[in-house]
Amino acid sequence: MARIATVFLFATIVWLIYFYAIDILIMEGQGLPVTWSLMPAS
Amino acid sequence: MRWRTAIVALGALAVLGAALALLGEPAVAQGEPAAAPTPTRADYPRIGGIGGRGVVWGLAQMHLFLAAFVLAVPFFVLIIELVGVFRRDDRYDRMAHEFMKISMAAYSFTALTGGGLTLALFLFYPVVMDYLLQVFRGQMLIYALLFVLESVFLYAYYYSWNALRYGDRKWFHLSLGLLLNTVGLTLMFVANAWATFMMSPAGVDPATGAVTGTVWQATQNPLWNPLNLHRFLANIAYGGAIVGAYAAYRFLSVRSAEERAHYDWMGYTSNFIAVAGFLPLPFAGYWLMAEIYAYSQQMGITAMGGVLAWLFIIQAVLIGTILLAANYYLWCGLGRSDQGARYARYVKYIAVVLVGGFLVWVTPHSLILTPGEVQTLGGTHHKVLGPLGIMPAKNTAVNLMLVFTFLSFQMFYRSGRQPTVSWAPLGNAVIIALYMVGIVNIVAAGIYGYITPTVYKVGASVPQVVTTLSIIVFALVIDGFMGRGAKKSEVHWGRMSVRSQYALFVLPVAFTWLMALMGYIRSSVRTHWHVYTIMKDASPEAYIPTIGSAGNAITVITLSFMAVIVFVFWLSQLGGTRQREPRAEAAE
Repeated sequence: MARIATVFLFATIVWLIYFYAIDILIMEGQGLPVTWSLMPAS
Repeated sequence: MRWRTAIVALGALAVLGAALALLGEPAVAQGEPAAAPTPTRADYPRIGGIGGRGVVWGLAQMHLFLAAFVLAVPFFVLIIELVGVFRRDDRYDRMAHEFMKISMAAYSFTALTGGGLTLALFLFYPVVMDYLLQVFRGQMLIYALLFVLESVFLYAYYYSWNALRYGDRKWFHLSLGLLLNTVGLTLMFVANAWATFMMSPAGVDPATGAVTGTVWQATQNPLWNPLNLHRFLANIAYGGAIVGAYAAYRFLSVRSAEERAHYDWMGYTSNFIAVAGFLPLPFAGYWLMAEIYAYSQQMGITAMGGVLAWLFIIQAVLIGTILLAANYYLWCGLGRSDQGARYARYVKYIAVVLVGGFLVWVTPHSLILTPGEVQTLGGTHHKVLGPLGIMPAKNTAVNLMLVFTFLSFQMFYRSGRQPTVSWAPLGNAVIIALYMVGIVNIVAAGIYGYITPTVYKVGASVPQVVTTLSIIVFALVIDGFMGRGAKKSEVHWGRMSVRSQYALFVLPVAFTWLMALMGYIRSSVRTHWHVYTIMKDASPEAYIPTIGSAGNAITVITLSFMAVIVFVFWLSQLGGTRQREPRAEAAE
């Protein structure tokens, strides 16, 4: 059980990195600047 | 046998080469190119008080339904035939042959409505057709030639099925199928060029409409490829839905368990084809719409922000119906295997997501309200539900619906297999993590769309699409590895409820309606132009009809097509019916 939980956690982190990376790459690919300052106020 | 394949292939290539050569032909031989004609009201004959629009609308839509079906079936039939060859399984071959039988019965109707449409166009819109002939010149003859070739290959492919059954001959037969599909796709691409030229003209002088470019330039107009892709995928989904209804009809009418099993399997395969064509379709539609906006923002706003926007709400209802019906059929299918019950308990959660997504999708943004209603509501937008009317919410809803439809598929696929690899529990953990993180990403991108300017809203929908596709691809890959050496439990084909078959009837009806609706929108975005910004429509019918009358026209066309399809199904099964000999009957 512990082994499955560990793999699950590890996989979650890997998928998070993967999806976050494609988010950034796609937004930048469309010429939309992706920076931390983008959020609401800007 | 191989030399004959070579000759046929060379012949087809020669025709296509000639087509391309004609495409490169210069526009006008000598002198200054003439401006596009400007039709007057006198140029639109009315026959017996009937104007051209209704007649052409009906015929064009009927032709499109039939053509979509007739072009799509050989495409997946070829794939199924090939699968049968590789798996050395005759069942695939029999099913592919039966699929072809249905499309053969529909083929003559396609030609009939096509001929009728051509006549109606030249009769009611002579000036427009004259101009289109100036633009596309010899390509129209090539189209006719391709149609002849399509008939030749179609009949040859169907009737040689049993004559070219094994060994090298089978490969010759498959080559015939390939040629049939090549010609069929080319036909569709050529016709698409004419339709998209009218929306986004190219190869002509934008001010006068004078033909200045080559046929190829007019063909390669901005909306051509988006429409090519969209229609290609939609045809597959549509063809799958219609043959699914045929399988359901046969499933309900046959008596023997063996035949029921066969038609159950055929229905499952059809539903699979329909959903496989349907899953990427919203993305192709999105591309088409994005290109429409890029070509003319005004045209985009006419489609999605003006009166036609309400039809997108009906579109949402129909797509929601299709997804619910396809999923319902898959859930019923869990009963075919003994392992299926394991997954049945998850069905209710998928249903909640599908219904929730469906409700978000049908929530309109701007409401048509009376002053009293505006007062009660405190504005034109609902405080809580209003925000669900804009695109970030719709995109999130549709992506989640697609992800969960795929999950239904995956459950059915897994219900027939027990993985034996040692790392199966770990693989499951990875897949669950994939779904969870992917769903979080889709929802997060949707929320992000709310708090950023419009350009980011549109931009954020692309990662959502990629997330959905990523989930599908990675889940398939991991499942593929996990399925190696899996213990296959028996699938009891035919062990399906009667009501599940009605889901297969819902699909083609909803698809047909949807196609008529969206085809109407695609054509209407030109508003009062025959050829957008080049040639004005001067007929008395140069206006967008009210939603109600358009809806009625669409419904009448849909019902007419359903009548044709019922006739086609009846014809298909009539071929296999044999009257008993009178003497044998008397002896009983």
